[in-house]
Amino acid sequence: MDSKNELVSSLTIELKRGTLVLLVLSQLSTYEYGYSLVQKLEKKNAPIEAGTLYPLLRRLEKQKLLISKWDTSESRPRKFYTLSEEGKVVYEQLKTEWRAMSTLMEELLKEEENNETD
Amino acid sequence: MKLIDRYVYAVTEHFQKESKEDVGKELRANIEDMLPENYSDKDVYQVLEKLGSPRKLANEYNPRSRYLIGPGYYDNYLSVLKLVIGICTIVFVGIAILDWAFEPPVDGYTYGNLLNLFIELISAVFGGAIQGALWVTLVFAILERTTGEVDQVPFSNKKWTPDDLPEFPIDNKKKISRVETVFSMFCTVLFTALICVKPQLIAIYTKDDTGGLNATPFFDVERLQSYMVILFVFLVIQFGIFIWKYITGSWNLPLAIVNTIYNVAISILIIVMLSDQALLNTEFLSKIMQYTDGSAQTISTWMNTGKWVFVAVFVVISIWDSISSIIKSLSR
Repeated sequence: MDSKNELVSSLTIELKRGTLVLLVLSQLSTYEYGYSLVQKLEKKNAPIEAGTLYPLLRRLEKQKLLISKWDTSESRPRKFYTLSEEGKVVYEQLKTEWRAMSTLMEELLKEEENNETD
Repeated sequence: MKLIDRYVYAVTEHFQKESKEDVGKELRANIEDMLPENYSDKDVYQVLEKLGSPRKLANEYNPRSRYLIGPGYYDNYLSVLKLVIGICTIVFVGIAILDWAFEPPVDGYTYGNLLNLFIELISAVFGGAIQGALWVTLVFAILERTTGEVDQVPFSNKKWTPDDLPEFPIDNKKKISRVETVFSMFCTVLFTALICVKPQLIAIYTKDDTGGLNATPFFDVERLQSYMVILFVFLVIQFGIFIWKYITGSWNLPLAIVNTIYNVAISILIIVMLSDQALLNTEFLSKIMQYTDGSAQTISTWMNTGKWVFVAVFVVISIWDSISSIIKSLSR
């Protein structure tokens, strides 16, 4: 039983991993820094490991989906990120893909359930 | 504070200079954001524990493959590695035994000398294994960096298509005999090991007055040293071709072309080396003179003829090998 639970949790992690980029892009229409984004996602019940998020932000910046700026006006300097123009386009496209995928998945799962109850 | 410094250092240690500073600064700020005001060491400890191992984090920052030999070649690497280690061990042990046979210890086979022989054999086994592993790994590391994506055709940068499926069973006309490949690998290793480790074993052996064996090396060992680098380059390329042959098991055009280029290059090298008078040990000549009672003139003409006959045979074999490999690769 235990190993089955482990398998389910590792498969769930894999499912979530695919949605990470979309999740992060969706929260960056305004400037956020690393920890503020962690808190924001936690509040929205979509927690993400800090150790995963920080590198991800940098990778997305490298892929030119995000732009960043250092804010040194406060007591401690912070690096803020937001969507670039390219990032906005990519985000819209990913959103369409996601909706199509989730609709399709929902239909497939429902169909299966109906078959079972027949 | 100390702990944070150590953590940031551990994460960014192997980053490139530009990203090192920036990532470090950002990571530090993020860690500090996660800490409460007036934090204690214990708070820091917990935050770092949550962030996880620095190696894992560094890997997330820089997710590229960091391996010497990737999954595409791994199985091939293992099987070639075993084969070559076997060959090298045999060759090295053989050379150690030859060395003893031609230069037996002066005071006969005492226990001490036998122990020495035993130690020499053991170190030959390890030496051979290490040399073999080193060269195979080098060749595969080069292959990995020049080709090697799993979805590509081995030894090329072409995307795989069903056309690339090997014939099954392999067409006899195109087949590269494994035995032949292994045998030529063996010869190459033997020859290179002799040239590099014990060139003095390639010699004329004569009995002196007391009945002991006397060896006069063919090569001028010092002069031979200057060819070492180029010989090693040829060894690596030759090994690359062997491995290619061994893995694909049948001739294809790129392989045949590379094989031909190699044959031309090695023929040129052989001609250059044999034209180099300084490479021949002068003692060797005088030794032959002494034993044949010929004049210097006749001996050197004789040596010259011998050299060029050798070159001619070598070149003919190379041409034969090149043409036959190209024909085989084109046959269907």
